[in-house]
Amino acid sequence: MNRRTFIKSAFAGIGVATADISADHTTKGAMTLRENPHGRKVSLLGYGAMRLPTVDGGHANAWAQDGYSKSGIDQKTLDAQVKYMLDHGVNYFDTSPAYCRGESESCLGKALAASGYSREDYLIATKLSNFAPQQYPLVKCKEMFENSLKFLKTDYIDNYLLHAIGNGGFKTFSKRYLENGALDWCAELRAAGRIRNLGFSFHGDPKAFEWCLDNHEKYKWDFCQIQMNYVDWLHAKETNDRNLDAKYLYERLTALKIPVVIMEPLLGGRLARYNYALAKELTPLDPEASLAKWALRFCGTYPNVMTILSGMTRTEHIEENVETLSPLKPCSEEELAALERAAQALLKLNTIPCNNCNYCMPCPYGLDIPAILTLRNAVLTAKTLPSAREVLKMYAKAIPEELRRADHCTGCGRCNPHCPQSINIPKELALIDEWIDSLKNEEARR
Amino acid sequence: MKTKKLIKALVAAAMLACVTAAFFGYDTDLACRIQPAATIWFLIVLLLTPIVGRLFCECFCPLGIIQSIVNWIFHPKTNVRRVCTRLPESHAQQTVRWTVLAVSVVLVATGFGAIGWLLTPYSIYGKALTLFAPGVAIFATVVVLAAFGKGRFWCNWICPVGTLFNLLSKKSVCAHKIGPGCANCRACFGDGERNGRPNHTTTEPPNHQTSLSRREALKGVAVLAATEALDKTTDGGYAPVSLPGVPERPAAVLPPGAVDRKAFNVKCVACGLCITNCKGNCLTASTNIKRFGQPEMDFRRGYCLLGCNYSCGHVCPTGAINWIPRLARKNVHMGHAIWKKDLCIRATDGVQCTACSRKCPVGAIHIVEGFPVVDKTVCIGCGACEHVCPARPMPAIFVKGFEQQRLVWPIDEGGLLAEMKTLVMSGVSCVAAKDGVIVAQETGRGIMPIMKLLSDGKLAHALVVDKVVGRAAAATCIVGKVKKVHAMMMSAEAAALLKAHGVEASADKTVPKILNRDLTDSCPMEQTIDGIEDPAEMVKALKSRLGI
Repeated sequence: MNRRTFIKSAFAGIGVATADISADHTTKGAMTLRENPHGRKVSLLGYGAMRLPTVDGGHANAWAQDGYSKSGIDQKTLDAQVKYMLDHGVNYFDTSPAYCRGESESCLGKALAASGYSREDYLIATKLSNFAPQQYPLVKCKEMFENSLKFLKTDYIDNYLLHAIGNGGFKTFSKRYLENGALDWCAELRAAGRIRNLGFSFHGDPKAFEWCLDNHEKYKWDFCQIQMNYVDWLHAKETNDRNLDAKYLYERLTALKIPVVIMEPLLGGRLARYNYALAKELTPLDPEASLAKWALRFCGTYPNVMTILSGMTRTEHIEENVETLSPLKPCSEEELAALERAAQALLKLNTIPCNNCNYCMPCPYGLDIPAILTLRNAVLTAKTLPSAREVLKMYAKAIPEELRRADHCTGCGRCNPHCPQSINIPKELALIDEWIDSLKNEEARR
Repeated sequence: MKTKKLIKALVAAAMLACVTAAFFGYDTDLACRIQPAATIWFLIVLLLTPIVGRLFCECFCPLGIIQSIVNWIFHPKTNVRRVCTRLPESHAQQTVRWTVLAVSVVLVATGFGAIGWLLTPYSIYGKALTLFAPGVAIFATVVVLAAFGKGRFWCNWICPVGTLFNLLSKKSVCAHKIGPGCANCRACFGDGERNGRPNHTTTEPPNHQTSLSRREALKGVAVLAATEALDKTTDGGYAPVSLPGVPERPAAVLPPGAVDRKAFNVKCVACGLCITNCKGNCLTASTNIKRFGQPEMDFRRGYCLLGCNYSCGHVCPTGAINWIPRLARKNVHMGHAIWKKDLCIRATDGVQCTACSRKCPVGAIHIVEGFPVVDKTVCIGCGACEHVCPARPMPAIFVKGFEQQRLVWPIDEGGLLAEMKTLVMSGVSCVAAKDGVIVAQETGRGIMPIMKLLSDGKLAHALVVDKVVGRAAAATCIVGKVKKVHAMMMSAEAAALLKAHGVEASADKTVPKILNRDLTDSCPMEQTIDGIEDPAEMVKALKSRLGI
């Protein structure tokens, strides 16, 4: 925790004497709040505990490079960050038993307990992340839920989600939630008050999404978590044929009056990092605004959005996003048009839609998949194409261990069902390796 | 006299810098060419020795220069150091140096080339620079001997090349003369000592055992990468990875251009210049007793890059690795890959792996029913497959080196044409050659073989020999952008069509029309394209007729 954060949070802490944290005490104004079917109002900015800060300055899903060293999550910084967010009106915390090699829940639980706020002041969202076949049986699901309660130091969950229902296709969805009775059990939990809201997060096979909405009468979904940002709004299908456009998803949910929780508003940082193609379209409208601000404002513009989850690793990410949404300034028509132009510009770069979520990891053969795909994107989004030597240097720096590079992919495809973006990972790795090889040969020829 | 000394010092400094820089990838490798080896350059040096004396040891040999420097540091007051090399040799000195020379020559002649060359100066210096442990040890010995001994001790007592130079320069014109009346008291060695004979006359033999055992150890540490039996339950993190072991190759893989294994063994002084200059990061010093320190392929860290213009051969100062830039890299076969079923992760993990096949730069590995099948006529032994093979502790696919590397030299067009015609006469329907090398041949009836070559993309800029060329085959050749077509039998229409599209054509026999098999009517393929003039349209029509 840096000094600035400390002082800020200390002052804010003094200011907040009562349990009512919706009133912000910075000069900027209060965080925008949205309605929640059951329970307290939700802050428009939510915290996604998927990329927790690590001691070495990285994010925890991309674990420290030395593999198994447990230098791991920086609990101290996390505590301070959670406190800062609560002080500034952020009250929605989203986690999962699968995140950060399974340590996200316990770390978040500790940070929330240490914040000094009472349980009623914030909302916890976690998920039934039974991805592996050995976790399909209902007993295992129950065990997972109990563990979540234990790790999060609570006796109820505000928002409980079926995790990434379309991943691996409808058959997998059916095995995970329908055949084993897990979904009915979740509904029972809600009736018993152990979970307040029941919802699902959606990636992948549209059939699973349609099934859930078709059965809305029966299950009464309280909310739904979808991937939405100004690129996926109209172009998700363009990026990958297996996707549904966010506009379609949003409108379907709005018609059924199901509040929407947004994930990947920044596409894992791809919409936040400097990118000439995006900046060219957006900067003229508001030269001071960061790219991240644009992306968050886009999502907030839509009224049925309950909260926007952002996996903020660094304290400065949190500070910036809090400021953006305190309060929200919705996008004008003109601005939405500019964002659409920016989306098209990004698509023209033909980047790989990898958001560095690390769901594919660990690769059984030790590859560093997200780093490889991210490197490819970094080269594609550079304003001027780096030379062969520069690319090879970047490659060696991004993946220092040779055995984790693209050429060691066996093509086994075990990563594919885990990818929320439905990327054909072995295919992309093969293409990247071919490209790297051609650069190597080009270098060798000199 | 001062000027002469200065020039010598400058030349020495430049030579040392150039030789050293060459090991760090700079283009100064020509400086290494004059080193003692079986080359014309060194022959010239030898021939000049009776005139210029041991100038080589003084100004060119890096080991000699370094000894001079060390000497100068440790015995700064001795001004007549160089004179000592002219002094009559003691009995012990003679015994040692001639024994070393004789043993070295015998070793090189009997197939232990690497050990034979081991004591030559560039070999020692190179090994030290490449941090090859035994080389470093010998180099350290040289420096210590120079520091505590008198004069360039190594040159005068051990170096086999020094011995040779000594013999040749006895009557050298330019050598430092020793006046009459010298009693060989050796006081001129400096410090006023008498008989300052060094007490250590033998050197430690390099310790082969250590490095061999290290290699064994490396083999042992490999851990199985894929140990995950169950599917993962959480996200993030890395599975452990480990380098594979070195497989038990039937024969080591030599760098491309080291054509004959025996000749290579005799010529290579194991200086390691190729190792430091390898673009693919795959050459390493051998620890085998017969090839000690000589380069061989180790594919754990890289593989022989096809884009590389024979860096190893380019820098090789001894001619042990030929530089063959005229020959396309894919035409130098260093060895071929061998696949072991039981080691493959197909068997051990039940995973359908395609890593080797995808990586192969020449397309020699085909996956047939899930099994990798190596096309040994195409495989060049570059080791890409071995490099990427995920099987641990040993790669399931590895390269076996050839005794004699197979170089597929391009032949001139006349010779090539004759060879292709022979093939066609022996039953092949259609042959394609590119850059002087036959790249594809097809057998079959009618127009199918050439259509197959077209769909495989083998026709572009190729020389094609076909049994029968009518308008159909001619159109296919035009679409495939063939450079030249030769036919055993060609129709006049086809010749005209080819000529109109700028394709060279020749034939053993020209006929007005191509007929069908029964010779009753014109060929059905020719009928299909009757009246069409555009070759692309013709090929389209042919394809739809053939149903492809």
